[in-house]
Amino acid sequence: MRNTYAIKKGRALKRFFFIFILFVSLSLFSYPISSQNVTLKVKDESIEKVLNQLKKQTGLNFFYSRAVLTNIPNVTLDVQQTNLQKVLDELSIQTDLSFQRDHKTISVRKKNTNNESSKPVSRHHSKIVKGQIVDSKGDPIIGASVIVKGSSNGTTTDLNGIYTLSDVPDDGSLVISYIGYRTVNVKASAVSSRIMMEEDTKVLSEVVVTALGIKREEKALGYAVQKIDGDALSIVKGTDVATSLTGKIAGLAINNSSEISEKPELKLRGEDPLIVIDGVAYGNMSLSDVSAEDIESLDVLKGATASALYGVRGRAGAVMITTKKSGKEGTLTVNVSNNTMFSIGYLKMPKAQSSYSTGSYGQLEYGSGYVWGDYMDGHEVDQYDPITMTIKKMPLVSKGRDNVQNFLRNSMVTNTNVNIAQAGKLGGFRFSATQVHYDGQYPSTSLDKYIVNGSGNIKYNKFNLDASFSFKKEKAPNMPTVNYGQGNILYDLLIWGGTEFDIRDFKNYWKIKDRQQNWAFENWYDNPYYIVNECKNSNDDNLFTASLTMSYDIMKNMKIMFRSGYDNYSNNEEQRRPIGDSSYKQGYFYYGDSDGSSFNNDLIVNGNFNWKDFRIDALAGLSSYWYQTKNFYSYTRGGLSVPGFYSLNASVERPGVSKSESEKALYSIYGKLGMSWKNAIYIDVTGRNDWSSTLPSNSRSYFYPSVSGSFIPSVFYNPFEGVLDFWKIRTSWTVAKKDLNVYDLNSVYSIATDLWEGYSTANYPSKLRDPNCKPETENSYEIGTNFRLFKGRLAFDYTYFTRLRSNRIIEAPVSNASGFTTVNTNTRENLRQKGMELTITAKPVVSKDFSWEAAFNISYWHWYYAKLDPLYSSQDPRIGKGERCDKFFIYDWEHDHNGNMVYQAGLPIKNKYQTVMGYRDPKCYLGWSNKFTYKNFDLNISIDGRIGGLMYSWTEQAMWNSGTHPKSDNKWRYDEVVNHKSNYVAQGMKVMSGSYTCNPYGKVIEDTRTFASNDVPVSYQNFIQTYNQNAWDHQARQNIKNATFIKLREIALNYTLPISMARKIMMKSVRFGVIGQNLLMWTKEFRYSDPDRGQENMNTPTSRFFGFNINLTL
Amino acid sequence: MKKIFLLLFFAFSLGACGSFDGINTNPDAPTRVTPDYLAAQLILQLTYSQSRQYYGFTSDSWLMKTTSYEEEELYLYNKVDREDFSGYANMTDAKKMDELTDADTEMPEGKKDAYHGLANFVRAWYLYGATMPLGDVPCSDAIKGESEGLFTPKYDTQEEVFATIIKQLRQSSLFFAKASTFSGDPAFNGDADKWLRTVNTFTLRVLNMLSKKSTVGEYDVKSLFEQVAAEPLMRDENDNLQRVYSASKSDEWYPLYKEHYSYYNYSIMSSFLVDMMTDLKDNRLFYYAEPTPNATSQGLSASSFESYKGVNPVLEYGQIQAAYASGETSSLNKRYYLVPQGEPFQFISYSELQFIMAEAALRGWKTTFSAKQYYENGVRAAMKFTAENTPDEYKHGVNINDDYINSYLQGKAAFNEQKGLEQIMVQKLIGSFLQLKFNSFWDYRRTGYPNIPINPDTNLNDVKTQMPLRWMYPEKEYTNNSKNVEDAVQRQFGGKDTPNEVMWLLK
Repeated sequence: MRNTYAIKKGRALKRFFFIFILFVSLSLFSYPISSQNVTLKVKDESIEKVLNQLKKQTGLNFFYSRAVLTNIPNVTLDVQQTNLQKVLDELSIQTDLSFQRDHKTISVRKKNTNNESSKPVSRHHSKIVKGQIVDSKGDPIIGASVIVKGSSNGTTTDLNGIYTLSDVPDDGSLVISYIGYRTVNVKASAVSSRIMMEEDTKVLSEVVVTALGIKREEKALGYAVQKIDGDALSIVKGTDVATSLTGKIAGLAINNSSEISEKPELKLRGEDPLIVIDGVAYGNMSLSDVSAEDIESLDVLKGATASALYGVRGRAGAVMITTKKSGKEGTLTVNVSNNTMFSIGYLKMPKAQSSYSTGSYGQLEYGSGYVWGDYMDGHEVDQYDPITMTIKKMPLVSKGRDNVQNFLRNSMVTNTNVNIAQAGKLGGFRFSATQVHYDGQYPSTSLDKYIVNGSGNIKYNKFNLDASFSFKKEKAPNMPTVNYGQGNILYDLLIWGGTEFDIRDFKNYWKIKDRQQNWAFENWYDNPYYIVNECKNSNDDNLFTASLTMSYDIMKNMKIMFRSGYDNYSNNEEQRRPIGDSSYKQGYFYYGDSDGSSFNNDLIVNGNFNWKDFRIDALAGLSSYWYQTKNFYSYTRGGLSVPGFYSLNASVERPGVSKSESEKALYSIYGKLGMSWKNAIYIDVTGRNDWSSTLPSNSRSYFYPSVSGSFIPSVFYNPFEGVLDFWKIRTSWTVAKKDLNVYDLNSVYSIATDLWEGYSTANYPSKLRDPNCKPETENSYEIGTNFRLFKGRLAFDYTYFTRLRSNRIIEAPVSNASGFTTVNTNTRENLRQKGMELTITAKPVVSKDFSWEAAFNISYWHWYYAKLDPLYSSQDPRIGKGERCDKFFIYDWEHDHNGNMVYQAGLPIKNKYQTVMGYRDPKCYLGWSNKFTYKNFDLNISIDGRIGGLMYSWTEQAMWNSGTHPKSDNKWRYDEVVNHKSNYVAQGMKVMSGSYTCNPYGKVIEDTRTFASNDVPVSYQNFIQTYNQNAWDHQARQNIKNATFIKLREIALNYTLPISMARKIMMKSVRFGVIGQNLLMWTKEFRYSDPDRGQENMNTPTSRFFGFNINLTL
Repeated sequence: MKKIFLLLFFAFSLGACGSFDGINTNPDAPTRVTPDYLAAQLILQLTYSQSRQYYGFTSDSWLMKTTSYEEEELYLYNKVDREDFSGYANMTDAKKMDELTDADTEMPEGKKDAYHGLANFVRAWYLYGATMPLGDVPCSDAIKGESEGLFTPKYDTQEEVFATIIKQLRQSSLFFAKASTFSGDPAFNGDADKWLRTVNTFTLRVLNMLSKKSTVGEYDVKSLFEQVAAEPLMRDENDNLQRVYSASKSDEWYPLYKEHYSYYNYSIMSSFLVDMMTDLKDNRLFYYAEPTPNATSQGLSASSFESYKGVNPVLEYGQIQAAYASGETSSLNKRYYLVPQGEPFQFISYSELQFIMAEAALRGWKTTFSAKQYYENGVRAAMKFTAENTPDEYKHGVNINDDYINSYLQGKAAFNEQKGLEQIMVQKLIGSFLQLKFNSFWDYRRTGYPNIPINPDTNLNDVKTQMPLRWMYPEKEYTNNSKNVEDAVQRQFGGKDTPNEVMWLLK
């Protein structure tokens, strides 16, 4: 029954959708050709473009010489079905041009008080008026238009905001106007020498880029969108632009890794957003492939409604990047900028104890690998001498308490960009080249990134063409191994290397070149200098993208657009492991190639229609998306035949090879209908139907509707006039769908060739695939409000969102006795996400010389079980409806009824059942950015953090286990090693009698225990190694920590040369300053590593960067 | 103009794509294979010896206290954990092999019989592997996920499971008896006769494990044992079901070989085994172990029993560690990690069969030979296996030849019916050093022999004075098949799923 209803609802929506498409198609033929009324919306646009628009709409010709239009300020207009004369009047005010109509031609001239054509209102009783126009901060407004009311007599203010206007009649009045400010009317008789203009917050409505690259006013949207200017992302240019984005968008969490090989990870409301560049949703382009200097603005479409027109790919929202384009017509702009930063120390530098040597139970020895060795008080013992490369008797002292720090080197990031832009009458071009060089924290690790791109456009009558290409090359000759394990530097130095040696004595890392290391520990660990110099992991990644957008104005208010985007990547990876490696003892070489491409096409028709206060925007489109990836890799088997020879030809046995590929196609049809009334009530309806290749034929086609609305009460009723500038309420609903992963439908065998003695094998997968999978459904709702107060000095934006995910396609665990371990199918287990985002922006101080602008945001989201599936859901009673999905289950230590630890034979005991320790997800994410301006100086400070959430500290657990943890340097350890006593008595209880049985959910079946205080002395090492059994035990309570942190992400102090001075040195602008990244950090519980990465697994200390910035525009 | 746009769109879109079904077909994985691929997979899985694994290879020797370890491991102190049902996936492959065989109209009958015989054997093998550590397990409902959508299989009683195992083995025996050679067999190169002998020998092992029972389902244990004992059985160590390693390929090296197993030097011989072998004057000790470092440095003879010492395996871990560091303990013989082909790893062996027959004879079941003869055959075969697989340079100058074996069998190891069962178990334990995973533990659990040392102060089993008797059910069963596992625990153990409950087999 339930399903029938859903189908009916779906059908109704589909029917509506097709009628709507029909409507849009019909509307192609229903517009009048020409009228003297015009509709125009431009912001900061050149006058020439505006005149072209007017020409198109009216059929009138504008006559002017090019000289007339030079040095004319850009104009801003928002008129709908307005009389042409009114529009020309407004243009005249803004541009200081006059317009005279003669039949079908309008001649455009510069206003000139000496020109006979401008007639003074009265020859008598006139005077010269002079004054200054300033803004609320007291800064001069340049280019404000001052005009005598009812005449064409006017002028504009100069660089100092000064105007001089003659022939002003005594009884006349002046009209002073400037874009974004309230127009001032003042009687000529009452003109003061200084007139202040107020910002018009009603007029200022931000224009944002929405799905498919369509620009909309923010106030018209029923969902959350946050825009950030490119400038804000290029204040501090590190390796990745995403780092600068951290904390600036509410709801967008970014995990920044300190590892050179890891890019920042974007999580929008907890999921991976679609990255869209100039309207093209490339399959293989990420934010790190874009240079900060090429970003004009970045708009984050939060939630499924905002990106509903992207269908299945936009389910998690989208990050829309608008790149910089060719400049103003007639100008050539060259911009050169460089950021260079050096490390000045580290955040969360780990420490190790320096009292006890390598070894075990108080004896120095290299075989066991632990650092539970001898007390380093200078007595003579046999040790490995890196100089003679032999074992000899030497005093045992801690020579290497700073081994980690001594091994690290100063890292450096430099980011250079050159771009050049020019525009002519029929189009323009921009070219940009970026180079990023990053020297990692470990010697010989580095990364070079080159991004070259160009974009151009052609305009010819009603035809518009934009094209762009971008090429990125990322070369890393040597990437360090991340995470716990062989080859990781901290694994070798911090965890398993004692401090009885100075690592710098091991710089000569070969004992026998290409065969044997100069190193004391043969089996497990490697000489770190050997690792960075010989165990190379190199990458060479290339990415090419190109896009083409053509549009044609079929008629006034109606446009057809075709957009195509293509990308292609080709990545190459190599790994070298010499003979004598602790892991690949015979040597190893790996070679991998992966390439892929994606192809996106959209064909869109859109138009709009106005009737009185109503306005309708409609859009319909077709789209196709296709991608293919191919991976090939090969590796040597049985070791290398020739020491120092790294090639597949060096393989002792036949090399191993493997290849895989995947391919997907998605076709769509979509449409949007937007309705508005009085620019105060907006309703958008969208629909999209996708056909995905990954689904079975009967469920391959699925529909994706959304409805959103925005209401601006302040237009009709404002009880707090003067305080409340603007108030908007918005809400939206979307049904988002998701298809299957590529090939998840086919049950196929896995083949292994020559697995043993020439025998090849096949096995049936342990994952059973449901051949009748349906697309996953997600119902998302969002409600939000934003208001601006005190003339824009204070603004709030709040969003609450929830989404219900049903019919989820999951890999459901099932009893292995069924023959399978998981089933890939639709579960009836529903999950619900709830979250909120709050942004507060304020300008606490605004004065003539000094101002402070601040933006603060806080957000959170959590997932909950909304409904359980009787078969596929876990039957654990702690997983129930309404419970959070991110519970941190651990095998805790056994406790008595009062919460004391229970020991057996003096050692802690692990429970046989799991308990819940807390939650994994952060309680909330915070971001706080500030901009202080003093005269020509500006200071940017951005801070962000995460509050709450549990995270396992791999570093601490491993340090405790190996014996290097600083806190293990205590009296018990001393007693054990020096006084040979096993006297550690842990505080807690021991069981005197009885037993304790629980079921796997922790439910007590039998508990007859009686307790006494623990009094069993044990070896301290033994105790600690039982308590911290190995580095993989992610469930040791004491090393699961609160991941809260606050980071001073960026700080930049810049000085902009006054324009007059810049001009003297032939520059349009000059800006320079000092910058820093990752300067300070506070953590609640993480002492030895930086949790910013989102996980803690031998995280490399984070470089504290400090450096310089210079930016020149020619 | 509009037409041009549309044209462009379709030209661009369709140029790249084919049909949906074509696009969604993985070109690198087949939907059909031939049965020999599955046969090879099943046989290699069955004889998988956890090569390159951290713990697996030596774990049963920790539980049986024949070796200890420099790292603290749970089995050293009898802490057994949860089982998983990982073996069941092989039964899926067996089912697929059956289906593909039936669907092949070209295949000769004899070959079909071989694949069916193998499939039946595989099912029996993994059901045995599942029920031995646990008790009741899914059986009649198992492997019905794909065919019937049955994902919450009920648990059959252990008796029903054993009845099924026996039935599968009898069917397998019938199939192999009429089978011809087949392909995809890394164990016996498709020799159906060797498979027949393997299946029958394994049947005897299963029946022997059921020694406390007179009937299992419809089967009479004793009479069935006597019947199978008269059918073709393993004739010598060449008939063993075993994995043979090779020096020439790095992927086929012996699991402990040093080039890919860095843990080799952490194993310590236990005093339990060393003392037992010293007492019997068992020369295999020289082939299993190295003299202690101290003995070597003091110049003591490597061919003298005095030079070999083990660590008491039930000491506190710190003391074991200290003993390891002191140079007073023997490590594994270097051949285990210096000889790339090592020795074959046995899964079912001829010597084991001899000991099974000896035990049956001792019990009074009808056999061809006497218990003593079988016992001596077993010792002889086991000793020869070790001798043949130990290169001379690792023998520490000690020989194991017929003369020696004869004298050995007349010494302390001479068969004595009074303590025959214990002697058989001791020989089974010594003979299966680093062999026959967990087989000795199942025997110990059943017979109490050999007498493994237990130290209540270090024993991590909940009942301090005994070894654990079983493993706990998989956690996944409690989250994804909870009603059935809880029913099984209730009916067997009154709701308690602990390592000390007594399963049907042991009653």
